[in-house]
Amino acid sequence: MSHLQELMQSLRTFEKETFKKGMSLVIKNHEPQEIIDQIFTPGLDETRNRYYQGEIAIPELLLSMQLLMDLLSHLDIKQVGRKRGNNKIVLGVIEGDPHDLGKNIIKRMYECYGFQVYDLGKNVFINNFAEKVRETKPDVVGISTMMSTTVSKVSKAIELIKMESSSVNVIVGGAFMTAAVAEDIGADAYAESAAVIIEETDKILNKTK
Amino acid sequence: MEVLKVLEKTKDKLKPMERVLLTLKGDEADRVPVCSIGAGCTRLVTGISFREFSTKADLAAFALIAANQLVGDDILFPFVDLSVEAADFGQKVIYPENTTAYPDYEDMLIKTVEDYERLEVFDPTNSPRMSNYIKMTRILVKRCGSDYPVVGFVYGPLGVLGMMRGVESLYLDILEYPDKVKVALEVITEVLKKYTMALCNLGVAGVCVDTLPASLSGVSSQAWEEFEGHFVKPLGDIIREAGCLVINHGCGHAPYFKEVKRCLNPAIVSFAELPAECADGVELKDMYGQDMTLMGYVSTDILYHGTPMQIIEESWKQIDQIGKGGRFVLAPGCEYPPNSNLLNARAMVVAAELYPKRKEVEER
Repeated sequence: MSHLQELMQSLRTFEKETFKKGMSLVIKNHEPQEIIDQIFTPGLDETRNRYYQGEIAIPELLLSMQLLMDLLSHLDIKQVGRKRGNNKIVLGVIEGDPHDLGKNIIKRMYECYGFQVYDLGKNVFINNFAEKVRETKPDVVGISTMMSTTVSKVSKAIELIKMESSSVNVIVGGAFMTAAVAEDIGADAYAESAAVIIEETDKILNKTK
Repeated sequence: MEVLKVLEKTKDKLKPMERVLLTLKGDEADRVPVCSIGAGCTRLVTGISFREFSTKADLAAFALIAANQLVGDDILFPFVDLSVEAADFGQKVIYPENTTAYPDYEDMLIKTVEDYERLEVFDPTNSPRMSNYIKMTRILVKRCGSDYPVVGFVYGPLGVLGMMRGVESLYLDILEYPDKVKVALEVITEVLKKYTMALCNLGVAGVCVDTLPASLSGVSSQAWEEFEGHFVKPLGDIIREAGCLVINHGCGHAPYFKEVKRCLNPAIVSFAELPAECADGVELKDMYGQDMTLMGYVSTDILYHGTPMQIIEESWKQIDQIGKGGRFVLAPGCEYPPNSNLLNARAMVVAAELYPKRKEVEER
């Protein structure tokens, strides 16, 4: 088995130490673009697909993305082709909600796929979303909430964001969200989970091209 | 059994306790029982704050009883919030004005993997939040226990640990430091055993063990059995030995019914979504509804945003699929949305009341 195959295998079996050892060997012996094409991109797609199929759960998804981002940090990004380098995303969990696990997974997913992410964190005041839109002019704003008590604030945040920039797209997600609720509160899209966030984002980006 | 035979003959005017008993037995009562899982929302009935609801047993009990009378629920399911157990281990909790209490995620009790070994067993009957919950449940059993099944609530050990470590860190630790995580789970389980026993001793009809991570929104099914299933098993045994019903609640995506059944063997399972192996409610009933009572699964977002008429339609759809042959309690998939109007909870009860008449109209 080649170094690249061994590294891919350790990613599939979530063996962190083996992955780290294999990573050093691969970086020493392969070009960054080759690593991106043979490990990073297929590894990420496979992990996301396994999560979508229910074959792995959140811990494995988190660890895989952590390992892949670690790998990426050792490569000279300027030398390699990354998709969507120009797409900017503002992310945050709405005011009153301290649950950021879902947002953090989405953030990692976006970063892995090459988006430029501005993470506002959790419990973000609604004005701060609009301020960040003014400052960074993103393509998409992602708002998460896990609670029913904060849905009305998501709606207000969307209103303010749209007042700031009518062209920015807002995508929402979280335990309490559904496509119907998303539409009801004025969002442009809804993502059920991290497994579909890239497709849902692409859909709205393509629509506004 | 004699009592049940008599009930069967008078089932057009059953009391909540009788209705639930018949349903659990696998018979169709006068109507499907309803449990709206009203927790934080019940405080709206008496005008108390979220903090008071979480920390003042008498005020919370009064709110729960008042809401029960307004809504017409058949089961008193006194859930307060998910921070109760973690708070008594020493986790700092925030009590906001407008929403449910939660741990201070900026100041987690378990900051490093070494901290897993620092948890200590204590007596929950003397700790602030858990003893307050016991006191509240005692009031409910005393006031309502002969007419309504009152159900105690225990958050499962993996969920409690998540409230003290942060779910993201805990989930990564499960893969990287499994033995350290298990040390903490052992200690938490010891406390939960005492807590469960104290609740059973009050004379509750059942105790609900919440296994939130037992779904694809949580950990893998194998990891769940290893890191929670194994630990909740003794809780189930305690509940059964006390003569109470083992109830399970899990509101994640694609819940692990098979694994939960193997580890906890609940008499009632409360759920928000169908397990991956079931395409619809009919399949769910066939697969799991023969020896377990299914409790669910009106979506909380419809309860929050929908009209009472939409709730009635949705409830009828679920009764159509799962209600036949008893062993079904109509309920939300999770806690009734805490700041929502209770009218939609009442609509669920109305739906259950109207359902037999609707069938008559259809058959004419």
